[in-house]
Amino acid sequence: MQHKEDDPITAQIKNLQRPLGGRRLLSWGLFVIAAVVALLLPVASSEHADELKVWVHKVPGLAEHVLPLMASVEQAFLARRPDPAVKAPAERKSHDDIHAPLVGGAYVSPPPTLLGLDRVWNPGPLAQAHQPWANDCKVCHSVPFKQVMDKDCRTCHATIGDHVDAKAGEVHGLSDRSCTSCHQDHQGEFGLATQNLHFVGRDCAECHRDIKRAMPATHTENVADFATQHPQFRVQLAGPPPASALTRVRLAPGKTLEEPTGLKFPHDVHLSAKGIDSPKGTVRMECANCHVLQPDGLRFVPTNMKDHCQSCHALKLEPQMSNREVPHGPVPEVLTALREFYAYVAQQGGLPASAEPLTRTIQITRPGEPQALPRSFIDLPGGVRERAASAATELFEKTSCVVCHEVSREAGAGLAGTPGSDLPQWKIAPVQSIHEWMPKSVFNHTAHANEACTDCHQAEHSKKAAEVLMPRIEVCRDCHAGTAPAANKITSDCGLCHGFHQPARLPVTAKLTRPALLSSAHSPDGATAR
Amino acid sequence: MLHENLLKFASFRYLKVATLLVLGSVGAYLWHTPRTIPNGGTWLGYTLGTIGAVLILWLMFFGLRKRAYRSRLGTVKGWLSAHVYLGLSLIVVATLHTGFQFGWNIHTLAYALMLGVIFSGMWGVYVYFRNPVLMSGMLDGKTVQQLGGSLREIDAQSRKIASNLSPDLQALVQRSSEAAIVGSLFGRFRAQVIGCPTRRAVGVLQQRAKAEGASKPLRDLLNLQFRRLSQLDEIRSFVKLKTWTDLWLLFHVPLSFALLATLTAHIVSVFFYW
Repeated sequence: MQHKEDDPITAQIKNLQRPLGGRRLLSWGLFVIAAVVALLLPVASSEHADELKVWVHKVPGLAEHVLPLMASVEQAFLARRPDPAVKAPAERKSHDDIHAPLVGGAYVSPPPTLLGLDRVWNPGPLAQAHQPWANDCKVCHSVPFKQVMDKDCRTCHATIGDHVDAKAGEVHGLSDRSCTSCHQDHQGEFGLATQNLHFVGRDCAECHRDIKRAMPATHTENVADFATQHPQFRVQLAGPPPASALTRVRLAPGKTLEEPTGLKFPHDVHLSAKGIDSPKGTVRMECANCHVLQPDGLRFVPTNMKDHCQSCHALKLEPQMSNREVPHGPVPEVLTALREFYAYVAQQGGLPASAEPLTRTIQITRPGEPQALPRSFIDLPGGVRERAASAATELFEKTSCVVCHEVSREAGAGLAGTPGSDLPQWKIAPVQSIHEWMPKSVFNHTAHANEACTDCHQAEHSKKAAEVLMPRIEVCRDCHAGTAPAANKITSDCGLCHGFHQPARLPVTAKLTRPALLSSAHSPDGATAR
Repeated sequence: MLHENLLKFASFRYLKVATLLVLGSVGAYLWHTPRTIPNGGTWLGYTLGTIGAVLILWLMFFGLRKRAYRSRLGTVKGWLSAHVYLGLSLIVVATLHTGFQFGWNIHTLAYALMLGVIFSGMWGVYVYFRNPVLMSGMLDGKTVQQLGGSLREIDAQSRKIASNLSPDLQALVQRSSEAAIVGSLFGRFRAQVIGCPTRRAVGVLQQRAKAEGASKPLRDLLNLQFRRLSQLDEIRSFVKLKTWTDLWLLFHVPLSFALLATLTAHIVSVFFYW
């Protein structure tokens, strides 16, 4: 049936046959809005901030509202930025090939994004320590289309150590690694060292199972897994003091290493189950009496005479009439004290009676030697010098110094200008300085607090101070398995004891878990302290 | 049935392809151990992301293929079957790519837009399954144009009868013939038009018939207007169903363009701040 073209019913029907309109307009509209908000504005404000500011200036009405806002946001960002490292970051091989701007010798991050408009690109929460700059992306992402560069990290973490000393030269598979090879942010609030915890062990064996391939000049042996392929421990020993040159010597079964200490100290006597005689009677000593753990759980307070020995090993000088002791100091100091004491006594015509009770003196004698009571030299014939000399001889060679030290007579006069210089002179052999036993690993004693010291250190059988009581790997393998779980053993990967960044030094934190990893990020002069 | 072939095309060929893709992605995700936590930046994340982005671009190409009438590259039916199944597989592929990390950023916005596109597509499959059968059943075998012709005939006959009746009845019939089939844009969603002149005319004629007695012209006019009203209602129901059948595309297509822009921003930004 023919009908007119402009018949309203036909027109309406035609209209209603068409699909719902508006698709094209909506598509364009949403596309443009999304492109501007998600891409164009962030890019412009990040990389073309100056052009944007010029454009804002030109638009009437916009400038007076937006420009102050831009300035205040920029100020807020800059105020929170860390101060650049005082010195330029250490030179090291990495794939940073863009010359970073230096200000007074320190690397400075590029200016912050205008109005922080790139915060829409933030893919996830930053590590807690980085959250003050969560919306200041340019602090780390300084160059577009380049991964975060080592320079950016070292703005704050200037003193993080390398894995291998840069002086050792190029190491295959290591020199092309950057910070971001192992540390990725925006993965949650965990610290960037903690996040790698379960991953560390696997990566190490990649190079260390055949270490000569990566670094032919290495002294390290191949390591794949603690349980199956880990060399015997090496202990750092010092040579004779005072030079005390350090070398690392491998432990061996059936052989006890020795290190010259300059001291005489039998652990077995002091730790005897029957107890040991002391001014307060018989005491049963234990390790903690002399070896006090520091709060970080890693190291011990250096054992010293005053805190740990002197309560029993008094340096009494006239024990029958006073509690006085000579100072535990250099020989001239001791001789001076003696000289002055006897001069005083002579001047006073005797020593006044002691107000406090005399403490019991323990006489140390070597087996076979007769027990000789300490003598008093006050009534000895001769002058002050003779009495002081006799007292000094007895102290140095019989009752005090010689008990623990190597003492030898020295000819000649003493230190000029001191009262004791006219007395006989002695030389005390230098004592070994304190040093790290296993510098390439970190051991947390607090984590092992429920184990007895003697489980690992055979001190109760040790007769000489020179004996090195560090345990061999078999002792640790009693409880620690490798990366593969084993029944009733602790699954252990490399990161449990070792750190990647050297030196793996003391962490600032008191945390017990994975001190090796924590310490690597918190060297004593590192940027952040937890 | 044509629409069943969309899903059954080539004995579910694209369902099998999509299932393989999904199972492969899930398997890879379960097997892979990320350095930290699962995220789009692991090698698996990059792989799934690339697959997802390529899929999204190919899915958008369907709009072009649909309009390339001379193309011999497969059939539109085959393309549509693949479009539906591979589009559904994107739910899994993209979600695994995120590593289940979501936040208030453009990356999650892209993901949300993608889900909007896919869910509106599922809505589309549903309406394309359900509504066409109902729509054909609605019109009693006639087309909408035939119904339109019928309306014109009724209007002509009504005018002829009314010309012998009072002027107010003539005016009533005239206004009835001018009745809008669908009132407004929102009227398309409902089968009723408020204040429809034809409905008014029927009401008035019924009252008159009761009041004055049903003379033949009045009865004829009433029957005509009643038929007009029922045909109008048929057309309106049809239009309502057609509108609801068309509506999903108003979401599906614009959202996919918003997704295109946001996806581009997502990929650029990830490498801009690498």
